[in-house]
Amino acid sequence: MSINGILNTGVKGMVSTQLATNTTASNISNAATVGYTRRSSNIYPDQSLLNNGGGRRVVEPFIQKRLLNAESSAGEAKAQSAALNVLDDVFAEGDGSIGTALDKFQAAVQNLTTRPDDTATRQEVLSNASNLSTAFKNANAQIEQARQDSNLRIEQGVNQVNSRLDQIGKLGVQIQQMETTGQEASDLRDQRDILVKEVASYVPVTLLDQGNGQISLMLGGAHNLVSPDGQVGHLSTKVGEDGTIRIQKNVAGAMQDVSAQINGGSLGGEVKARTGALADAQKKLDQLAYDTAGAYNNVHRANVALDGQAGRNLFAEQATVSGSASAFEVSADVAGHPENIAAALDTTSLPSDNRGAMALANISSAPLAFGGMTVSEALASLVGFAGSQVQAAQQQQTFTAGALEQVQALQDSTAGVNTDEEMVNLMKYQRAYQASLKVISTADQMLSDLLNIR
Amino acid sequence: MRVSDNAKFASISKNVQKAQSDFVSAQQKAGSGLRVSKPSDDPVAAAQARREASRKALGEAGVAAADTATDQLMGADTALGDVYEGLTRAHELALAGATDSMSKENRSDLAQEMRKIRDQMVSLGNTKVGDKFVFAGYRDQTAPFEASGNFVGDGSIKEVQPVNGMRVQASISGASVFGNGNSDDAFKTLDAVIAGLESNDAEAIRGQLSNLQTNQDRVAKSRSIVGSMIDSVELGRNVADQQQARATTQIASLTEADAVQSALNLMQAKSALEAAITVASQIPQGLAQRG
Repeated sequence: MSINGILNTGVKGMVSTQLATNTTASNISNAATVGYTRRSSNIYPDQSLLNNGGGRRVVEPFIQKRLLNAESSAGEAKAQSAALNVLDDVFAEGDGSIGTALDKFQAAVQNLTTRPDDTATRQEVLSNASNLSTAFKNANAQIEQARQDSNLRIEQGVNQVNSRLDQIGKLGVQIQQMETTGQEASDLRDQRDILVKEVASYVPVTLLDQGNGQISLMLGGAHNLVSPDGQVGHLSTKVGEDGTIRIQKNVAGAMQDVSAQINGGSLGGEVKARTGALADAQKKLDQLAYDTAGAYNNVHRANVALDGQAGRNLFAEQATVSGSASAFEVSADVAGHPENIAAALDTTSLPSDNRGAMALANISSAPLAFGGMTVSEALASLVGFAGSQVQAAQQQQTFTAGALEQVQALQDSTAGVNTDEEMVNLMKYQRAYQASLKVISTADQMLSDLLNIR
Repeated sequence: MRVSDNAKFASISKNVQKAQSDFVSAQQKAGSGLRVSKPSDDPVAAAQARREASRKALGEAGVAAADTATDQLMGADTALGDVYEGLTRAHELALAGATDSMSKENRSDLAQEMRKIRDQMVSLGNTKVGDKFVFAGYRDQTAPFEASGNFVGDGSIKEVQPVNGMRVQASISGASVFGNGNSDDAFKTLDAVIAGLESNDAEAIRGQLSNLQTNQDRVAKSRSIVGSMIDSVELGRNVADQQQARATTQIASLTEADAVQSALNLMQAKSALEAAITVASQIPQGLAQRG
């Protein structure tokens, strides 16, 4: 062992503590940076810190995978809950709600039983019937609007995903180039991790580390979104047969509808809300409108109006269940003609024959054609359905957000910066640096002493 | 566990946010007094409340229907009371006119009073409550009795439905009260008595006495029918009213917040929020801050 060797060791120690200090400085500066992965400044016996040109990123691949899954689930639940919130507004009690309109209409029909001859009472029935139709239409329009909004957000989301995929592809190539030439690409890796996490919040992804800084990113584990060579498989949208926006992807040269595979992320949440609870609520609303119109029409047609005529509908007749809510309307025969409301049983006892009106009033307690419930019960069950869908989505959102927080905390506990820890490191490296300098000066002194031997 | 700065601050901000959101929601509940203001607050309660709201509306309408019917029946009852009194007076006059000792002039005076009673009977038969003739059946927009006492109304008995499926009779026909133009019809009887008085024919007057009694009995019976109708309508009204009252209570218990409980919740949420904020201000200084 030569004194020169001691000198070299001292220099090595000085340089590596310098670098370690630099790493610590970088950690401290980025303590609050989003997505920053802390670099380890540990100096290993082989002085690998030196070889790497900087600290190692402290990454736990297992946690990262869990983080992506949690991100997808949270994104899905959040989007679904936001999209379903409209149901709360549509079915909340209040002026203009279907519930209030239905109650008032049924009360007006009940009043008709006491004053079937009175024009004002008949007018009251008409205007309440028309309010009921407005309530049905509004409710349907609000749900329809929510579904359209979902479609819009799906289109926007696909664009967001595509632009991130492009960046991920480019970053992959850059990282590989830098790292094969021995440069440090930690910042680029951080950026890529952030982008992958963002993609995961839109669609469910599987991330595979291919080594050499290359990754492959797949949609739900089946379709390539980003290949190891940086090639990007974009998503695209098209208008489906039912008017909804479908998500598709080029798979082996042919466009394939992958909407069904997107069972996570905010896009998955939108698809779920649109084709799930929103569509169901709309169907139930249509059924209610169809049955209500049908039940009142059946009785009303058998009744006799003031002019002695029978056979008129009270509400516009619906051909199909689908679309009944948006087409719910006072029939043309009766609209504007209160005298055409048929409250009598036969022509002999006009105008105060209230037996027809009583039959109309009885509908409020008679089971409907569909489901064996009365109009009010069917509506109440729809209110319950809407409420529980919204509630379940909200609970799911709380639950998945909590799960995401937990994984995020786990990730932070390995990859996050603790400034106190870094401060201690800083002191440690400062002392080590001082010691290395001391070694150098001591070796220098030794050499000088040696040269001065006489 | 290793705690990073980000995690430390994230958990503080999460806690403060949650405490804030809990506080606002407790505030809303205490302020509005509602536990369920939208379906997702409690889907089961919201659905039940909707059913009860519908029952309440129907109950209210049923009470109103019963009240209208009761008004009509009370009007009919009062009119029948007057009719009975008129017939009783007519019977007295007829008895007086039937005595052989009465002079022709006196009978003529009696005839005049009898005419007044008869006309009063016609107008009582055309009694109106509001704009409805109570003895006219379903054709209640036109007077059921002509001046001659001829019945031109509708013979049906009107019904009212205070509660769905519970129909109650709520009118009596003028025809059944006054005799429907038969030989013992009230107007025919009175006309015959008047004719007897004017022609000074005591025998003819005596011949109508039993018919007068028949008419009095018929009116008394009609009155008892109307009385029992009023009772039945009242019963129906009570059912509707109870339905309405029960529904109102149900809605309150389903959707309204307990005032004491929500005040307590608000206080709890407030102290939780204050605690979270206190914790946030209690982050210890790190090594860096100590220099």
